[in-house]
Amino acid sequence: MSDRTAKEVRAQAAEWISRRDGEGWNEAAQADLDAWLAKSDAHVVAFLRAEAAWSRADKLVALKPQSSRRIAETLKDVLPTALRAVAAAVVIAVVGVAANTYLATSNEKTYTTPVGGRETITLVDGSQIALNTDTVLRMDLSGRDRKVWLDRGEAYFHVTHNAQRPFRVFAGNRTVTDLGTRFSVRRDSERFEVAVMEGKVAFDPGKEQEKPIALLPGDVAIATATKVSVTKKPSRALAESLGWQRGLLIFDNTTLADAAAEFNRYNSQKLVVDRTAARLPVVGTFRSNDVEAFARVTKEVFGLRSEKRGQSIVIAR
Amino acid sequence: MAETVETGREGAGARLAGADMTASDVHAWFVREVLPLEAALMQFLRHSLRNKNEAEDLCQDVYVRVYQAALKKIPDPAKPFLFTVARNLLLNRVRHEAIVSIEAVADLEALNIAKDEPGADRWVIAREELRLLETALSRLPRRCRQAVILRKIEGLSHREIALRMGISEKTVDRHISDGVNALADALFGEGRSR
Repeated sequence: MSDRTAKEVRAQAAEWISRRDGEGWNEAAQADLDAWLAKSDAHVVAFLRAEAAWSRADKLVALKPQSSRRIAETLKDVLPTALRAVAAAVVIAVVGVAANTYLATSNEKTYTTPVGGRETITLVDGSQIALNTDTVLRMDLSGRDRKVWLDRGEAYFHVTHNAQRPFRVFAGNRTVTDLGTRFSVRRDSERFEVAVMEGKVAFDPGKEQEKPIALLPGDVAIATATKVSVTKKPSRALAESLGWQRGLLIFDNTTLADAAAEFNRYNSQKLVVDRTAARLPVVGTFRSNDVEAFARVTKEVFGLRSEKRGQSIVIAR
Repeated sequence: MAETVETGREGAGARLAGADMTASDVHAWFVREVLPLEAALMQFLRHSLRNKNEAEDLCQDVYVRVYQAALKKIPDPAKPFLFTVARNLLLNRVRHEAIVSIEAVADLEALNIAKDEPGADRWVIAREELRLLETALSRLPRRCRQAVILRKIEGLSHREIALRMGISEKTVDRHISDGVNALADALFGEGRSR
């Protein structure tokens, strides 16, 4: 259909926007741009998209700190400082009502989400934490270390790394220490899981003789009461495991029983899968809060029976 | 505007230069009504395609068709039209593929998701948008991010940025164009769906 991929055309459009944004722009350049646009409607739509994005980025000026002295410093030391200033400005300018909660750094704060809920917290240092369903997390940023306790549930961390202020996640006797990273941590009653999307973390399973394990992108460590294992997952699978941030459950050859268990984390209406249907493979993307749609699709695809019993839906052959 | 607009390739440049009011109406309409639907469209396409990498290309194809149709007559409302075009392109593709996956069966569900998700088609409110921009900014490579900050937050020209960063203007252009690309994805595409 398109002779060039969307990526290439969009990159070209972005180049035109950048050129026009610079000083060398003149009539001849404009004529070149017009000629490029006239070549294909694909060029036109890509250009409109890039142009709209770049002009909306003007809003970034809202992140500018008030004091000009701070600007000078920001520019001199370039990024770590700049980003800190930017992040602080975002919190002040953006969070509004909740600002008190986020800015208070003197003691421990507790964040909870109900079953089916999720929430994103932005810290003053620019780090972000997304809480999944039914999660309890405590945080103390007052000390040298940034400390977070995951008491229950699942959270995704995008940490602004700062060697002077290690970011540690505690779950019972286990500790995850950020070494510059995006990672997720999940704590169920008997199982603990750390998955690393980017960077590096040190995972301390909290056993006497064992040393912390270094986890790299794609590594997933699973710890139970008795053992710890580390496996490698392709990045696509990792990305899919984070579908919850968009309210989605993504299954790729997941057994029906496991898929149902996932749904049950998000909903008060529980799925019960009969042994006869437990091992059927499920592929697809579903809204985590729409159990009935999931039951309907599995019914149609596998020819199963489903039956409501009180607060449960029972699925069987 | 009652005149018909020629859709020949020749016209595109002239129209974009603002010579033709109707074309600039179409452009404004596209930016206002169609681009905000990209997150929902991409979600739908990714869900429906076996090869997720094709979603971006297909999105671009959908845009071209919607845009070409709009030059003749602006479809109102935009959303059902956009998704009809997307579905037709997908069906064309499915006809050429022998395998029908469970995902294809789930497509109807997906279409409902994409159509009914509350707020998915509206511009995010200002603070949400600023958050998206800030997140996108923080994910840019260091030098690229620095160039965008100097341009958009500090208001320096490309030449001043080049001096400040000790690089050529050409390199500044490249950092900025990478930034434009990433910000567009963050505002309209992947970054928006959550």
